[in-house]
Amino acid sequence: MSQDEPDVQVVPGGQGGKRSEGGQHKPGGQGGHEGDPVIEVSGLWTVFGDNVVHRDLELTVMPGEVVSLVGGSGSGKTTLMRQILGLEHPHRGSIKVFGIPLLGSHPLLLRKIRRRWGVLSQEGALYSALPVFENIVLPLRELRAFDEGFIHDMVMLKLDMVDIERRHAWKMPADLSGGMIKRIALARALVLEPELLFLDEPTAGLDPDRSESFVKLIQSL
Amino acid sequence: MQLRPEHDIFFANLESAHAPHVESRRFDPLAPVRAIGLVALLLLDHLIGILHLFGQTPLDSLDLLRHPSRGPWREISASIYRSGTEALGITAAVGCLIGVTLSYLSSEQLRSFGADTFIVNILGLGIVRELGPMICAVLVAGRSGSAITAQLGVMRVTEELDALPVMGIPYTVRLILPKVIALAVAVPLLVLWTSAVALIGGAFSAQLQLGMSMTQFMLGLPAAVPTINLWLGVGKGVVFGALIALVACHFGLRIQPNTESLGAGTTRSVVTSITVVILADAVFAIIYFDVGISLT
Ligand SMILES: Nc1ncnc2c1ncn2[C@@H]1O[C@H](COP(=O)(O)OP(=O)(O)O)[C@@H](O)[C@H]1O
Ligand SMILES: [Mg+2]
Repeated sequence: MSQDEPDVQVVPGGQGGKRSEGGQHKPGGQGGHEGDPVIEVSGLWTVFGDNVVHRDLELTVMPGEVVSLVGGSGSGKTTLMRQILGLEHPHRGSIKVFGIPLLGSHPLLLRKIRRRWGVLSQEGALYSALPVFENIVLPLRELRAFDEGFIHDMVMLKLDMVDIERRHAWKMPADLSGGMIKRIALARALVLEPELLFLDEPTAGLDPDRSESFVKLIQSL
Repeated sequence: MQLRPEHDIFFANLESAHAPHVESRRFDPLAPVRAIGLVALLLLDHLIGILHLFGQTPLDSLDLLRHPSRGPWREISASIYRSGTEALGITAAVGCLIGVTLSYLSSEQLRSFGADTFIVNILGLGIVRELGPMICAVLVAGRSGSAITAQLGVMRVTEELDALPVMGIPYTVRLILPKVIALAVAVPLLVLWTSAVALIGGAFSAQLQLGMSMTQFMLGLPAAVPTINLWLGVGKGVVFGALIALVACHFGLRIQPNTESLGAGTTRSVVTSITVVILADAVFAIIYFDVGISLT
């Protein structure tokens, strides 16, 4: 049941590709040097048993670019994202993010890269043991460079941005709907003002209105 | 009745299908050897995983000492509460019952030899040195070890576990270290508590059986049980607690994102941590075989 290569298509952002379900949009940073690719994937092979998911895949994302991956469910979009995030390793091929190869680099270097990106995973992956506010604060707290007042303002700003009312800030994720969790997860992904943003199926599970405003929000970034 | 073409194909296939091919089981003389090899490799794999976590703990602790204000103190205190304070009731109940039973059985025997006063030695040494730490460790492995494994496993299923490293937060500091520290603090305290309750239960039973007053029992304890035994019990508590936490975390991290793996992993975690605790207890017994046992 091996799948054919063109299952995953790379569509330049800004056009119709954006709204298609199952897209990952990656706005590159504004400050990057023109010419240095943000993400470089080359010769990537991913094989699960006899299921070839990626066959010699090449992908280059330049600064300022928005790239959508379009493909049917099960075509390997999430897997590709997890590989770029360093959560899974491809069977063959190399992945560089900000010019740094993921395999073989020093863990501290990798940790630095990880603070320059924001990730919204398919399910949101909020910490179910922490209230919304603490969830968004997590990446900020880890840097420990900010006082509480600033952190509070920052969180409220991001909540406004993703259209979540402030009174929800102290609710637990289990008490919120799937769409709200997704938007809160986006707030968490945005809280460090990332240069690189990964969104896995950002509009799946949202009502049409919200999905529209979600796309607008991402375009405005 | 009409058959659609795909149904025709289906029935045609049915007709032409052979009887299911049953693979005849041939005698494989190497099967036991292979099975033993596989088990050995699996054990080695788990051992390496646990050692990995064990080695990470001092590194993370060093990080904690260097930046104490950044530490996961809230997680640590929450874990101590959950695995220590909330276990006070059950450890007291079990400890008391064991104390009463042990005292009852021993006093029957001792009375027939006229060696009534030795009940203090038997109960004191047995409980403070061995039974107290052991009961605690088994109960904590069942209560907190399973909870830790299940918690990490669910975090794997909901992808929360992946979200931490992606945000540049090392999950060993946030998730593993607090649990190891919490159990290494909570279990020795529980050991003291359980031993105390078990001794009181034993003294009560001795009073009923042998007519030895509780004060007489308690006054006899310091002479019969050198203080070093108390420290040995507490030390065991620290080691057992840390071991249970490490094993539980290891199995929690190994859980695959499905419900079956969650159940199997939790079972394996509890069984392994109890086994590891018993092994560690044997090591303690060998190392300290001539410490704190006064033969007067
Ligand atoms: N851990 C795994 N083991 C086996 N197969 C996997 C694993 N992860 C993903 N796959 C397979 O890879 C393919 C791509 O999955 P995924 O990337 O989640 O698709 P999608 O494009 O819908 O996000 C699927 O066919 C899935 O069965
Ligand atoms: Mg997907």
